Amino acid sequence: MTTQILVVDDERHMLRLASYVLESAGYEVLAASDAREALVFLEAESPSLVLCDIAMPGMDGLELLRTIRANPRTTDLPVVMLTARGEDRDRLQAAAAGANGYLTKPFSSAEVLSEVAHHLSTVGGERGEEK
Amino acid sequence: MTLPRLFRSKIGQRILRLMLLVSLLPLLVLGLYALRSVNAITTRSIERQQELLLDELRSRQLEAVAGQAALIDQEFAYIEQAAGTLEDFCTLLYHHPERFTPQVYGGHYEQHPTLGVWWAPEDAGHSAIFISTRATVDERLMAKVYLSEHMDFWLKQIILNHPNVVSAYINTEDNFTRLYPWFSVEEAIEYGILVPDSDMHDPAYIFYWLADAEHNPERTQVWTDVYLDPVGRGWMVSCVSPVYLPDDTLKGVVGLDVTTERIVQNVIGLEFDYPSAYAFLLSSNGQVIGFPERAAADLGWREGMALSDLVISQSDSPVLRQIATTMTAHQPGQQEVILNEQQKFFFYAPIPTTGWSLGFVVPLDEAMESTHAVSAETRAEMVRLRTPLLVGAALTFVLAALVSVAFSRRITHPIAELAAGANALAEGDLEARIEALSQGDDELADLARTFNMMGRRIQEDITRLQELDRMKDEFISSVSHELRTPLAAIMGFVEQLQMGRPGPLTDVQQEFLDIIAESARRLHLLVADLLDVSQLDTGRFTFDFTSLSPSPLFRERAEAIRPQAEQKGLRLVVDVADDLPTVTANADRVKQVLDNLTSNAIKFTPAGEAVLMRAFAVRGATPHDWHAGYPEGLGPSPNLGSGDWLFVSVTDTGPGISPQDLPRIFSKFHRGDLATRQAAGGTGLGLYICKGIIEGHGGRIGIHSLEGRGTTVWFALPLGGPTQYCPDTKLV
Repeated sequence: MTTQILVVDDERHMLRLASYVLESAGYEVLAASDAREALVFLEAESPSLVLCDIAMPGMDGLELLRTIRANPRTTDLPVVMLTARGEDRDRLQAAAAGANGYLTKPFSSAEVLSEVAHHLSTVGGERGEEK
Repeated sequence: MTLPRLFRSKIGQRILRLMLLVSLLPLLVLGLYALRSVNAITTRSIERQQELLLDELRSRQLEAVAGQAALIDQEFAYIEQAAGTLEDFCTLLYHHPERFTPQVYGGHYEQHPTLGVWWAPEDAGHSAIFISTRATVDERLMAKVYLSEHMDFWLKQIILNHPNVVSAYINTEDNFTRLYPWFSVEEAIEYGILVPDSDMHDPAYIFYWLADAEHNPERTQVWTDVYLDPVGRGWMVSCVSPVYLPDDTLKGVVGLDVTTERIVQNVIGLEFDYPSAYAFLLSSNGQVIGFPERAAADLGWREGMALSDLVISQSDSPVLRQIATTMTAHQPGQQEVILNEQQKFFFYAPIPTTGWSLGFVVPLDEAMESTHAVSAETRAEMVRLRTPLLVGAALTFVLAALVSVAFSRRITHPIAELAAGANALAEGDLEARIEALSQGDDELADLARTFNMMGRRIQEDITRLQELDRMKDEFISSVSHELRTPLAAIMGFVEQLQMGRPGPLTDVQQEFLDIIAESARRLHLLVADLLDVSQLDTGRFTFDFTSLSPSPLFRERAEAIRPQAEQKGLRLVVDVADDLPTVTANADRVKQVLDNLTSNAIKFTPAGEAVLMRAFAVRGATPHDWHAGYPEGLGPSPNLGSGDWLFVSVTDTGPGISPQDLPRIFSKFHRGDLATRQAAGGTGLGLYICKGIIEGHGGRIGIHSLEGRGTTVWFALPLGGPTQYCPDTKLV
């Protein structure tokens, strides 16, 4: 079974780029163009990791993150923030909301893949221990 | 404005001084003049008063001395008249003896058995007679003696009427003497007062001799010098008068012996208004006859001196000799003399009958003292006159001072208010306005209103500019964020294409993609720099300080940049010690600075040259040789003060920077001339950001460049940890 990754970005081209990079690496991508759509995916599917933009119309990435953490089913789900805002303040805010990783735009494909692999292996190890 | 503030105000002091000068100087001059006038008038009036008083005193004393002298003279004149009357009678008696009955009293006269002189041995209440042994006692002489009994009536009358006359007598040329009152000739001879064989023509018989034709050709009454009475009645003087017959024969002299006792007592007892003043009597030959005890010192009297010794005409003292001369000149007068070391008024008047003089001596100070009371009154008057003057002056002074202070405050208060407003504005209080002053209607109020208007405009402008600045920062921040997303898309897809994921590319496609990638990368750098600048300018730039080991970090950065240098044909020389002390710093930011400096150096240095990266510790206490280790002329000369620093520098041997560009090298968007900028392809924000980062660490940054030689850019981080850094507040 291929690993499912939920990518959330209101920017159509970014969503496409992230999906392309992840799919090229063999992951299955759930592409959501806003938080509402993401929450529908989370309800219906069980992605192993979420790659999430912060600045989005309607519910923003941090709000979505808090919702994920508030839900017992997804509270341990690794969430990597992918954003154009790279200031320390923003990183701190994300960490406080429970983000596992933080990537700033622009990013290289290697960067994204290594970050994703890192969080998946950590979670996978933890899950393995649980089993 | 409070008084102390007024006195601190320079303008206030100046106005105060001027006002006081203008108002007080005339007051002072007038006041001094008035005071001087009052003083002068008073002094003159006192002097005048004293002069008048002294004049009056002098004339009074002169009058008094003349009056006293006249009284004494009158007494002597009476005696002289009496002597004249006696003389007339004697002339009649001896010219016309036939008219007088001889032996009218039947007096008894006999020759002394042992002495041989003739005398009247019994006191029958008549005169005494004395015929010396020189006389030829015959009937003619005896007839004369008997005839002389008629004289007793006159002699008694004279003695009775003139208390100062103690005896009256006649001495005839044939050595017969009749003298009233009676005395014992025997005893007189025994006591040596009379000589038995005396001769009237002998000069020793002054009574006779004085009056004779030779010595008294006018045949008037003459006075003897004073002499001490042989029987102890003090100073005596005699008035003698020659008795001539119509045939010009001198029959004898009549004489009156006068005691000066009562006159002297009168003179001594004269009372004066001045305690030390006194009167004294002087005979014609300068013999002091009468003087009170208090005059003794003045007149040269000494204890144990005989009375007859006090002859001031022969005194040792020139003053006394002069007094004697003056007095015997027989003119009344006055002088100021110094007697007994004291200044004295000396008044004198003659007693013409005897040739004597009377003198008054009044000490000057005592005389002046009597004028002092009057002077004191005048002086008190002056004080009364001066007091309102002084009080008036003082009041005027206070008034002038108050007016000056008030006036000065009126002027300086608004100026101080203006200054305070301007200072507040200068210190950044844009709300500063001058409220109270602007209500007025004078030029200063105009100035205040203008100031307020200016303040309002500045505030509006600055507020507007601040708003614009804020908007600009927000804009930059927002734009750079917004740019990132499309940039990310461009860079991401380009990367995918370059990697050949979507499919193989031709060489030209690959080349074009490389160009797109490089352009995107530059755009990304520009966006990042813009964001940094915006954060630096708005103070949102934060530092994450940790303990940092510089040596590994710097080596790592050197190795990271080395390929870039070598690709350009440059040598990268790294001189970084292994044991650099740790610093507290934000590692990413320090890295950013170092990367910026090294990439700049590589960018600006042509192929074949070298880039030198150095890092070492500098101890403020130890002198450092800034030339050592650097290419010649490129050693920096930082002014680091006394602290300890981690010093980092990057030196290139490129073209250098022109001196006119150096001062602006750390400003925003500066990158030397246009050609260099185009060649370099940077954003021009790098050094500005570096400066912000280093200063955010409490460090220093600087540049040293020689045109044509190269450039050294350096920064220093404090080894003691970052200190609070407050960048200059910039309004725009």
